[in-house]
Amino acid sequence: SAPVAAEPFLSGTSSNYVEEMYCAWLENPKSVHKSWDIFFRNTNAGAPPGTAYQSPLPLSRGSLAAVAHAQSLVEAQPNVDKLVEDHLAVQSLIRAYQIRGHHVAQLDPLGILDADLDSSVPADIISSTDKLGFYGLDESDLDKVFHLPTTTFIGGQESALPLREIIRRLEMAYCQHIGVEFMFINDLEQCQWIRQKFETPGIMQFTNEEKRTLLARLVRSTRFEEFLQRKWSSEKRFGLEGCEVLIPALKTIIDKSSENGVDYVIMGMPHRGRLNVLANVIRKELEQIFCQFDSKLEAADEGSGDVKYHLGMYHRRINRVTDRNITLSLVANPSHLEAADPVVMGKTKAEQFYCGDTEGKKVMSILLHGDAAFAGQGIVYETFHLSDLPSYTTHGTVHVVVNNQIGFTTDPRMARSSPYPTDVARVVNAPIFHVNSDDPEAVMYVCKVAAEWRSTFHKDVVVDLVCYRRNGHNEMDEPMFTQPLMYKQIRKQKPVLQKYAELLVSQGVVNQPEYEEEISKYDKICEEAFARSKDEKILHIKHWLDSPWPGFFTLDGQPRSMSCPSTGLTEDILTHIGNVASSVPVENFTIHGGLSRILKTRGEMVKNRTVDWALAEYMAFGSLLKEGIHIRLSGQDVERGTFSHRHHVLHDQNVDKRTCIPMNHLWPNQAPYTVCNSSLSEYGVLGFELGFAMASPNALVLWEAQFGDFHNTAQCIIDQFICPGQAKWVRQNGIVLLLPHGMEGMGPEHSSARPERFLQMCNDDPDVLPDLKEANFDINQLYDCNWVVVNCSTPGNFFHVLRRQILLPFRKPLIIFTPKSLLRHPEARSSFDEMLPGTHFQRVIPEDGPAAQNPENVKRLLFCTGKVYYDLTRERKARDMVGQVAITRIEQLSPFPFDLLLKEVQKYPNAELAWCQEEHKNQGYYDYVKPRLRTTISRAKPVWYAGRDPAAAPATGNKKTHLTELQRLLDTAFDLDVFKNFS
Amino acid sequence: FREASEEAFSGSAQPRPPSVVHESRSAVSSRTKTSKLVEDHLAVQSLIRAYQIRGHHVAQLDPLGILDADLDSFVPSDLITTIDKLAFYDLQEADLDKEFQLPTTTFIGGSENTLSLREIIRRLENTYCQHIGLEFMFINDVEQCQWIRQKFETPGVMQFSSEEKRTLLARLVRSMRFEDFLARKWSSEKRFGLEGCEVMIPALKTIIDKSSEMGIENVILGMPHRGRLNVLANVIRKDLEQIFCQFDPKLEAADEGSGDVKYHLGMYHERINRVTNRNITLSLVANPSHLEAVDPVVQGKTKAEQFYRGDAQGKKVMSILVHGDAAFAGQGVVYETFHLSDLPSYTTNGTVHVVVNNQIGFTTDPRMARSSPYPTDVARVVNAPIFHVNADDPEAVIYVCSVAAEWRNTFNKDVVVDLVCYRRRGHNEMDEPMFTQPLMYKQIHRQVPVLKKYADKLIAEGTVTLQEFEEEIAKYDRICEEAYGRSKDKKILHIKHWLDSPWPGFFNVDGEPKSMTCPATGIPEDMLTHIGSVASSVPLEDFKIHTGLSRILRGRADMTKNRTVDWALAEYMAFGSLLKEGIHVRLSGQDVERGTFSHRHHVLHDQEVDRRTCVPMNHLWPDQAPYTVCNSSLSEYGVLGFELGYAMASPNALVLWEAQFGDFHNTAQCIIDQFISTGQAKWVRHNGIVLLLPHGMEGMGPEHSSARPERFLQMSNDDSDAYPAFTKDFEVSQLYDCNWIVVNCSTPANYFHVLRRQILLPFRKPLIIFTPKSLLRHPEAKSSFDQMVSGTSFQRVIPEDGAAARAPEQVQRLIFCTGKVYYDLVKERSSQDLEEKVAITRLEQISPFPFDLIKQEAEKYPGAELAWCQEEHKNMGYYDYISPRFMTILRRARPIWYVGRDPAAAPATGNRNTHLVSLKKFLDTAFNLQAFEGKTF
Repeated sequence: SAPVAAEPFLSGTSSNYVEEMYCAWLENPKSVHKSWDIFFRNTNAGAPPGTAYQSPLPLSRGSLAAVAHAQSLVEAQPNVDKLVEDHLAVQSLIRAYQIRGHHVAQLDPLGILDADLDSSVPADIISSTDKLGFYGLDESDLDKVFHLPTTTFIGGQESALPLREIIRRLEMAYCQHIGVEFMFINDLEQCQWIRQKFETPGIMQFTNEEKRTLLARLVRSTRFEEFLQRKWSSEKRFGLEGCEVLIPALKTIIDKSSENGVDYVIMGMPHRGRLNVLANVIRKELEQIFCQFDSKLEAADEGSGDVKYHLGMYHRRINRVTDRNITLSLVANPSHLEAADPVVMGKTKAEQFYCGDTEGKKVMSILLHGDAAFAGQGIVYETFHLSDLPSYTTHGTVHVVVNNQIGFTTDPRMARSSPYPTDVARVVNAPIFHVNSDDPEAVMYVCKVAAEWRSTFHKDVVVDLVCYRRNGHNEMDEPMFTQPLMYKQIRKQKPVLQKYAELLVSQGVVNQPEYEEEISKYDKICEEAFARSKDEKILHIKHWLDSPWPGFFTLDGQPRSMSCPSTGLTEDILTHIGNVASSVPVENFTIHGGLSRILKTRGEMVKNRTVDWALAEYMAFGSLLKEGIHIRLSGQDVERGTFSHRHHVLHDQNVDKRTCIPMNHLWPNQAPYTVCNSSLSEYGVLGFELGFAMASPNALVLWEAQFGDFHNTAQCIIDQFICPGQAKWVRQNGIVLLLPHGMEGMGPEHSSARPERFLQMCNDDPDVLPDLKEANFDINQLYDCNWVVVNCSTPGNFFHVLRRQILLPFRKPLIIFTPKSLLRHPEARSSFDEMLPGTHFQRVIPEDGPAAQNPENVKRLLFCTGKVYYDLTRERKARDMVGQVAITRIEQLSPFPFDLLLKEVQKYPNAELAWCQEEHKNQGYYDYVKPRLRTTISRAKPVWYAGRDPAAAPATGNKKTHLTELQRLLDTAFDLDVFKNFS
Repeated sequence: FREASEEAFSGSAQPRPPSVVHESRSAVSSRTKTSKLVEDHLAVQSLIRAYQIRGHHVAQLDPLGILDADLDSFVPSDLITTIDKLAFYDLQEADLDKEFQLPTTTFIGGSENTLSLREIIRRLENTYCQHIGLEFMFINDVEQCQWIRQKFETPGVMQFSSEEKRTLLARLVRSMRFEDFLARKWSSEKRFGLEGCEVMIPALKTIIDKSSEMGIENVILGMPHRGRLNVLANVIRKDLEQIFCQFDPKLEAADEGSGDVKYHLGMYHERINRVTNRNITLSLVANPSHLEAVDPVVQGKTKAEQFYRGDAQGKKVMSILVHGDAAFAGQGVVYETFHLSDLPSYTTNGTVHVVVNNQIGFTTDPRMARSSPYPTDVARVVNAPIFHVNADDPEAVIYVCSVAAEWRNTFNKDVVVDLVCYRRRGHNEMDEPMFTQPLMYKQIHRQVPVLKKYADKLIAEGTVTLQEFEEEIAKYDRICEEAYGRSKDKKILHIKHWLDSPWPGFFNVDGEPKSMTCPATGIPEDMLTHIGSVASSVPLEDFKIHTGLSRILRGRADMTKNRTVDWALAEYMAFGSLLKEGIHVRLSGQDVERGTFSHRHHVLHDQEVDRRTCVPMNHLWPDQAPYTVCNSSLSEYGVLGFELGYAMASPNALVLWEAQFGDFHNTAQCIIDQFISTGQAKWVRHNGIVLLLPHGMEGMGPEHSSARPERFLQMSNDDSDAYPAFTKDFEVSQLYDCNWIVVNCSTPANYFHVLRRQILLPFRKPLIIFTPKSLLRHPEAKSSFDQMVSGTSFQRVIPEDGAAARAPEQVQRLIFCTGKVYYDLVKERSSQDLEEKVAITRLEQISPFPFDLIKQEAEKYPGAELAWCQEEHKNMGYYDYISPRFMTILRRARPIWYVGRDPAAAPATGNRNTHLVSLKKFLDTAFNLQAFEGKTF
């Protein structure tokens, strides 16, 4: 303690004048006489005594004493410049630790890898005294006292500290087991908050009670894996060994969040440690987990199921620490790492929405990541970019990275181009807390701060648990082949439980018998559960449901009925919605002239009792809103619509950012309508909407692709969640995909939504003719399918299928191929008559022209779907073949309307059957429709093909080729001799 | 004193010591002043740092002046935007004229060490708050930060000669008048014009000029549709008539593929850079509408070009990626690509990213499109500097671009140039933007085009005269008109003129393969033995491997002795023999070095020395081609795109991407759909990439089971109903006509052959291989050297060769299958003792479908029922593909029955018991000779 060691004034005698001159000069050399300037300058520059006097001093009082004083002052004070410099240096030094301290923190429990992949110590961190030279300081400065800048809290109550102590405290705060990365955040207040949390001396302290809780949680975490290992030593379980601290970490985040008012936590995580989290965080009954290891366990007939480390869970319980109710849900996920991220976000957003939690004070999400996937998978980035968008934000997520410094067999140096796996969080200015997971108290502290951060700023935060993986990727895998030295160290590594127990025993917080008792207590719990688990002979996947829908099903989980009411509406509702859709329901709101024209047209359609596509959608949405169904339409540019036809958000042409959504002005007590332009992501956004749709059956959640072909960047969500979600996880989902599709000469992109791919994934058997006489045939078929695929040819039918989606007593994903040019096609209109009470969605629209009046004269029955219908009718008319060729539209492709099509075929006994599509032969619907049509008619007749040839690309890039192909397929469709010579 | 001195800092009066003598008071007052001096210097240092960190937040980046480029109109409290904000630092107006020492972290002083505060602030404002916004202080490297500070802070650093200004103007003229010309001639055609960011043309040209100056000879570009035609015309210098003729709707396509729209096509051009007088090759990689999907492809191609030139440090070849703001923030592949940028086997040693940040994505406001301040924050992940610049200040743009090029060629790291601009029209020329962005577009309508602004400036400066300017315009307009005149003669479009990666010498001059045959893919026995012995040895001295691995190598040695191979060894033989022939082999993917199933072990790890490894494959022959095997990051989209790009560069390399499990390929679905399956049809571009997709139903649950063969087969372009003409070269011409090859080998030897055939073919097609998991260790899944020696070839079909084949007329059922289920079938047949009644024939090449061989097989067993057996569910696997083709080749005379699992939503059950039950069930059906009695087909 040498607080004033640097005080130079105590030794000098005083001469105000010289001093004033000197100070004035220091402030501004030009403010004093030039001779003083030269004098001070020379003296400051270290001129030896005497030489500074080259110019006589114009001292009015001209005393030698004053001159001597001036000299002594400057001599005593060459250090004022130095003082300035040194303070600048110390400020820089403090900042250096704040910015770069984490680079030297001891984060790797193994002590062999650098968590930042870089063993170099930043030049500006004082790892040895000679590095003081970087700042122009030396060892002698260590005991000088420096004033602390306002950007640090290391002083605690003190505002000045000796340099030695400054460095010591900075090292304590930034270079121990916690590495804090936050200085990239562009917000001063947030930086100060973090500095205060980590720099304040003595801030990281735990009561004995807290330490014992932590130990008990570590016991559970560790002994759970050991129990599994003992019982099923040759089974994959993706154990948590090496990161056992994850369990107390998550529990701390949940405790702290519960304390701050959160009562619902939604979690997503990969396979590693998942069983442990289910057992010890969510508190799934142990016997339910153990019985899954029994290879003879039979599945109840509820779906094809999934492996145990993918299943989800929903559990409501009392948080023991806060004594408050808390609901925990872990979302089921596939092997595709990180794919569950946006799904968890979407579900969280929905839960927040339904409980009016607009600020995320009640519902929050926690996402767990592996280090390699967090850095490798683009979906992580896409999800982060949703985190602050008004219609997608969940008001902050706590991310926990299980950073075991290896990805399967791959070294982190080969797995990422950033120092840490967590750098993606920099993109959204989220702080990143790295922590050595062999220091459980540091981990708890960091988790606590992370939870507080989330509830204070409602922004994302990342906890990076730097740990290791004790076994191979799974328990059967040999890691020594590829990581020999790392695994030699791991073999030597004392487990964290043992380390921490020894610490607490040595501190006297617990004694050895207490500790051993804690262990045997938990082991007993496991043994008892294991005994009970042997009674389980049947696996009920529904016990693993992550999002139950109370009240929607019967107690057995069955639909409440097997019928669907009429999806029609009364005329006055149609008219009312139509009127609102063609008006601006807000006063003094100027819309664009072009838009006025569009609204006027809508008004006229309403008057004429017709709808086009946009209006039909309006009717469907508007009427469901009236019934209390929340509607959410999300996707790129959906507010206006890719094809500028929807205009659900009106923009005042004179007032910036003033908008109006007429759909929210329909009825006094309507449900809210959300329409939101998403970021330019498909994978992230579709995942998000799927998650949103999971939360409740009483909402119509729609994702629209900008063009249908873009769905394939979200292929993983479609393949892993939408198509098999119910089969794997008994989880129904009513999400609707709107995929603009149609061959319009726009080139290989923007043409095809790849219907063939969706149809290929349908789970119905082409060769099995179902019992057509069964009651509710159509509903049963829908109930059995994995999703519904439709392509509507009329606005009326589009209206019905959207409404049916909600009126059905169960939920299935609905894939709709939506039109592009038909949006404006004058014939693609429907009359109100097709939408009135009693009307339904038409799975098939039969021919109803002259051909239908004299069916026996019909020589060819063409089946088709979607837009090509309009080309076909035009061509038929042009060829004057309305009596010879019947054209029937299949609107619902899957489940396949066997019943209605059989009727159609039977109606035209003399007709050849042909399927016509504008898509290429290996695309579109042909491969799906043909075997099913053949089954329908017991293979009595061939089903010919009229369409484009097979192709690699969905469409040609050449306009002329496009038109030639179109003409050719129309020619085939109407050339009645074309199939004569084929067998 | 302590308190007195304290006071100076805290600024609040505290009780003074009771006995303060005059002298000490004045000392304190002096001390106070000194403290204040210290404090003020601290403040000034903070202030300088504040500008360096946050100056970009107040820079005038938006040419429209209405939006904040960082989406935040908030002015950081530590920037001195008004005098009263000096108080943030406890400074005041009076301090403005005081002199301050400058810290070493700034260059604003030039040669001065001190400056007045007023001047400090002025210079900081000039550097950081004008038309350039610099983001770089997050970079964890002091040297790099200093470099950037020096480039931008040094007074007067941004100066241009008249010559440079005139060049810039001329380039702007071209950029601008090109779009004007198109708009005039084809007013109702989509072209995704560059209006509002015309400066991109001079920007790209500056980057290229500067890079050429620093030694770069080959620049590979990737970009989206916006401004693409302009880049083709004015950067790559595609002949204008080639571009113009594409607007003619009557233009017929030469029969080379189905083609693509004009703003997706690629280009390759070699020319002299006029500024540096050096040769430069420019290539623009073709791309689909899927924004940013081309990023990893460009990187892969760049890496390959660097590799083939031995340009290990990226001094000769570089890539430039152009992005749109919304996609740069929205698409995950951007992030995945950035994460490849510094990995040893994937780095291109720095990419210059140029963002055309028109502050709108189609109709979507940037506030709804991203959660970061700028669209460019992804670059922070890899510590790449980000230079934002107002695109209406062409000189600032050019300066920033030249610094970016210098950065790339100095540090060989990525850098981002963010051109903050606007989009003068709608998303395309037909779209009305006023519906959704009324105020922005009101401003845009008032906005003076950048060319006019800049021309006015230069005329005012006297750098050019109005007349010269008008002449420049007239000159370029004339060039356009003349090209337009010529373009009318074009009646046929040759897509090959738009090829981005020509392979000189590989095809004949017409672009046709040099032959239509494929030599035998077998190799001499001594070569097999040699490769086998290297594969079972450690070719380095004093290299200690794991004992488990020693056992594996011993097993290999035994196999070699016994003249057999398993899967891993067969692969070794294929790779090793190609390396001998000078074919570079590159195998990339997650954990490929060891292999997901721990069977490959191409990289040996010394158990005692950290990071000492050995790749025996590189120790095979003295003059062999190099072998690259590299564990990738945990990405599929990015890495598969990268390897596709790598395979584009040369036909003389075998480039393989292996999925960790086959089902993960779908996160890279866009690369498969938009590039691999369709690449040749759209862009006449051959590509020989190989996808290795582990596949098989082994009770592992819905994931890790299926590589979705059905999806690949569905995308094959052959006609199921067309009865083929069996010409002499049927096998090879079928391969030539297909869009890709899909195989599932049941023996290691056949796997060996198909890999070698991939290179010995006279053309290139993507090859999709479903690879085994449990078969890797199956004792029966071995092949003898006899099946691999000279004269042997890939077997598209492996016919039954057991008892059934010897008395074919006795056979009651002929089962066709592919892959692993063969072994289950054989086992079951033997246990049911049906070897004479049931024949089992394996289909190894599924697409193109071996009509010829299948026909032979079916005809050989006239009395047999035909059945297709697969372990996959009915709507998956191969059945839907093979069934109609069987019907065609059988002329619908005999049915082909289905044996396998029922249709399903998920690829496999998660329940082990269910898995086994369903396996048993379909095996029962396969050998139940009454199963199909009475059924119709």
